[in-house]
Amino acid sequence: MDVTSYIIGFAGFASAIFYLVSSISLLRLYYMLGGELWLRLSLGFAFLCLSQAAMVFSLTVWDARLSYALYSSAPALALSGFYMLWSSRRLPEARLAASPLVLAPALLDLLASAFALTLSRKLKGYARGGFSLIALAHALRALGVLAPPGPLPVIILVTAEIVRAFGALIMAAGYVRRLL
Amino acid sequence: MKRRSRIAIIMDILSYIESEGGEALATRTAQATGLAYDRLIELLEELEKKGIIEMIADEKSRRVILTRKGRALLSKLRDVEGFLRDLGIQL
Repeated sequence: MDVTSYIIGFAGFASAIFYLVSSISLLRLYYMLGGELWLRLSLGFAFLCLSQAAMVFSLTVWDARLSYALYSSAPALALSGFYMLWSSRRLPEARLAASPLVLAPALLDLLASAFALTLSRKLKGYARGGFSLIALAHALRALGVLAPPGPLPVIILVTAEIVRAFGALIMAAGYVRRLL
Repeated sequence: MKRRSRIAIIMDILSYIESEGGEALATRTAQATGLAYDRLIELLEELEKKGIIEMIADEKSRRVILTRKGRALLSKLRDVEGFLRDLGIQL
């Protein structure tokens, strides 16, 4: 593994830890107080954690088929996480926005990007910055799929994952003290 | 008036007890949080089972005491509330 892989691996791993801490923290509140909201939020962050882990391992495993499986599962997991967070806001249009999930499974990255971008517009503080970067990362991943074969898709993918990990790290920097 | 969520009601109850020095009368708590007495007692019994508060009843009144676990929970809820506000979610 070269230096870039180490940087992406470390940043991605740190981000996954942040999501995991958030998920566990919210799950503990669910056990303490009950309430569907805590469970939905906890599951949302758990999905984001799994997505982040899938991303890291897709870049670090040696087996190409496993790497591809992890690569394609990352946006689906992220999308599930965003949807969980989105639906926690109790907006009626969230149900409508979910329908393309069934119609366009090939465009999961674009959908994840759209969801994250739409979600981020309603957010504030570190959450807004973090989710905007995650939206950008998924848009880049989608662009990477359309790029011609050669080094360009790899460069786009690496850039996307750095942006994605950085987005999560921004939130970690802002919120980890509150959640620990 | 906007309807409060269950979690917001619990936070109001715990915040009131804390503001009274960690111990308050149930009747006063009901008034301060705008809850019917029976509804308050129902919630307090749930919180007592989880060790968040203690209730001491005598012939005339019922006192509610915030436990150490309850104080920690209230502090955590306040922290998480800020995080959720940034996510656009109100308790």
